Amino acid sequence: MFLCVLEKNILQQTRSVRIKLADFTLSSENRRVLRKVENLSLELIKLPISPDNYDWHIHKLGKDFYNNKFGPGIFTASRIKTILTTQELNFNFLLKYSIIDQNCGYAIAYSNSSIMHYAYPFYDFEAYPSNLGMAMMIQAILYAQNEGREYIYLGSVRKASDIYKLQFKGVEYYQKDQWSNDIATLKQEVFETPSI
Amino acid sequence: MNRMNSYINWNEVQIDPTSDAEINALYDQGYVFVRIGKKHTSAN
Repeated sequence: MFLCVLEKNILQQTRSVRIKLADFTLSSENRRVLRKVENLSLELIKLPISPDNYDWHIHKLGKDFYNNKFGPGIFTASRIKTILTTQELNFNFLLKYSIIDQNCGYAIAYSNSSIMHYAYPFYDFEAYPSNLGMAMMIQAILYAQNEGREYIYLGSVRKASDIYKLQFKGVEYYQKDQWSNDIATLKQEVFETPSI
Repeated sequence: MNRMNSYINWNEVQIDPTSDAEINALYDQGYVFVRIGKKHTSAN
């Protein structure tokens, strides 16, 4: 029997997607999404969060989101809490999103003075069924740009539902041994890959 | 239903990072931090 154990300092090479922030500007579609989610604010919280300050509603929201979107067991409440309250992994910031003082979503990030890796977003999909997820990503991109990061990494592209990550100005993806901005070729490859 | 088990993984490294520059260099080679660690054999 195999057990998957959280381990720090492990990196996997994948078809990573990043935005060169010097080349990023908001598109008309980006602006439309931001207008749809008015009063969305972003706060960065340093990880790990001490048990005294941790709010269980965070992993409840995450568990409900991932169960609904991807199925049970993909991202459990206990694993989310472990990532946020211990130093077992390298992610070092929680991105906390609010709409008029109401917590509505989170993402987990690794960030240093040069790069930000935006990962594992989850949000209240019942109260905000559309636009919030994209608005959260756009706000993270703007934050990283305003804070002088060189790149923001958005995870990987492996299936058709990941294509939304390729809509941003300045985007490029890693293909085996080099970065490419040939988005048309990648889209064709992804759409021809059978879904699992 | 979409599952998250189709992750593309060309290579995996475990590092003892001493600087942000080392991490940045790996990200520049397509590596990213992940939340799932190595698989271990259990006696159970």
